[in-house]
Amino acid sequence: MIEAGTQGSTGRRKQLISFGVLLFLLAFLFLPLYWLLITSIKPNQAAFKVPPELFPSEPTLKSYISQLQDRAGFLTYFLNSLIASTCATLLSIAVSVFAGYAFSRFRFPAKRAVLVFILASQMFPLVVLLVGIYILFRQLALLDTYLGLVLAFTSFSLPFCIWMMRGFFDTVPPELEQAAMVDGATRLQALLRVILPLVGPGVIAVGLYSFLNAWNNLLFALSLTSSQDMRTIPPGFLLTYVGEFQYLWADAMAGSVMVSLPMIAVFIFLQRYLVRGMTAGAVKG
Amino acid sequence: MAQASGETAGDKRRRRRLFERYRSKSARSEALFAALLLLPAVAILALVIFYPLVQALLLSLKEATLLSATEAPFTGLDNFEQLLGDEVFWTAVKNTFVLTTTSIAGSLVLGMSLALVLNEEIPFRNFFRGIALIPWVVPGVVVALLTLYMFNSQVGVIDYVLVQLGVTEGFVDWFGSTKNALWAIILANIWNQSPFYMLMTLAGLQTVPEDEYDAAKVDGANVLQRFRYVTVPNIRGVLAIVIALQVSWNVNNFDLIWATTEGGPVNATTTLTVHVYRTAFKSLDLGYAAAIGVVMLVALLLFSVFYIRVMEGSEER
Repeated sequence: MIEAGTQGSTGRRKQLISFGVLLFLLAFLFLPLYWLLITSIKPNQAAFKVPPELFPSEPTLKSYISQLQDRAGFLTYFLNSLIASTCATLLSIAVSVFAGYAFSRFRFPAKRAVLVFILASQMFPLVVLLVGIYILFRQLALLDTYLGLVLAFTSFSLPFCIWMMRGFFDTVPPELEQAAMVDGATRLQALLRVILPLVGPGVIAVGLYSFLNAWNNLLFALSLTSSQDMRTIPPGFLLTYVGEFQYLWADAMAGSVMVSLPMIAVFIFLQRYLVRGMTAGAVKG
Repeated sequence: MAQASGETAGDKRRRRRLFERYRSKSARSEALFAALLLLPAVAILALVIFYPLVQALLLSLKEATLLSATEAPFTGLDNFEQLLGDEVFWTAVKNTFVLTTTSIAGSLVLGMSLALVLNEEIPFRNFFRGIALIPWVVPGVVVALLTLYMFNSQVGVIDYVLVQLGVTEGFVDWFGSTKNALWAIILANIWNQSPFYMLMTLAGLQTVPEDEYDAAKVDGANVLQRFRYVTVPNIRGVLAIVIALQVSWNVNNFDLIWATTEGGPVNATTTLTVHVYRTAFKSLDLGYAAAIGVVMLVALLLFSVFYIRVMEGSEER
């Protein structure tokens, strides 16, 4: 690997090659993003121009404004996504904190088997689960409801979240809550007041993971809702921009930008927690 | 435990009995607490994973439609027989395999290269690291919309660039062609998934001890050799997890395919997931869809077992 202080022409040549490779890779990654952005500020007709405008001749924010005017149900979708994803995240956090703590601190029969089952369930094909969930939810009248969405969204994140929280709890020595209990706290109080703050990064990782998966999910959201007012963003966009208004490219891109910005902002700042959660125990040392 | 001299045997027994009673009571309340902690997780997982799974298994043995699922007659292995002769099923198997392997290979190369470069001391490194994440964070539907636009055969920028560069004569038909559609999706897939490899590889690279590189350099190793003998063994654990996760995610890949082609044209992009979805929700043939799903499940589980064995085996070497 190249070090900062390498002398001579070989060092500089390596740096040049390295920079060239970086440029190519970044081009592959960023040019589509650039295209997404400039298309969103073109008027809808300009998106049809051949040759395509590499730089918009009449930049406009009209597409963004029409999204906010709820022209294609954007606000409804956004609100539904927000409600369902937030609730699913909170539920995942609460459940995985308790379960992760239990797996970390207690011994009980079949513990290893249960843990393996939980991990294995992360490998189950989602579409197979969907078939079963659809029938079940129909029987329980959970189709087209927030509760149904929240439960379904939790299903594919929860196993991994439990595993992550257990890993984080394992890094906290049990002596800490024992000390708190000697001082008169119940186990629950010790968990919530003493231990939980110490696994903050784990909670962030779990929250990010759940929220991302819930916000982006198409399969469950599409199949478990049927009315326009219950749709979240992915099925909403699908049915609008790949269906009815397929020619409104600028609008589609503007909506896409607005929908992605919150996730991008949050992720750029908090991604190291997620990485820590996922690599716990996997990295040597 | 301090032992007071002059205690009778009866005293000792009594004290031990008291202690046992105290410990078992506290042990019971501890066990109860643990059970309560686990209850929400068990309840939810039973409801949305375990029960649907059992339902799917049962449905695969019945002739059930989406509407008549509850009174469906039991037909044994008929659905599985149908599966063997179903051309679409085998096409889906092939497409799933192609999609998964090429996406993983491409994303691995791209993501790791990006990580290696972004591990060096270059200007604006954190900025690049941040933005490089974006393709992974955006919803699959957004990736699909962007892909549909960029690969559009009339107004898409990709065809325009290809023609300008002289690579092709006229505008290439991507999503209307049975040959090209899957490759457009694979390219978009690689774009979408590379950042994840980059992220995890970077994390792994941070833990490689600097002195191992120095020792290798002293021994005369060049860049490639240092990569092979120092870097790779150290990030192997992270890579193993990442690849396992990505196999699962790619087999499950629905958003991108459904939003761009719905499995067409003529099943050119139909993967197993798409086939199950279409069979269950468009053809309303729930029993058959469940059967395909069971095959997927078994395949993934076998893969997991095989994968874990391989990983553990190579660790011992």
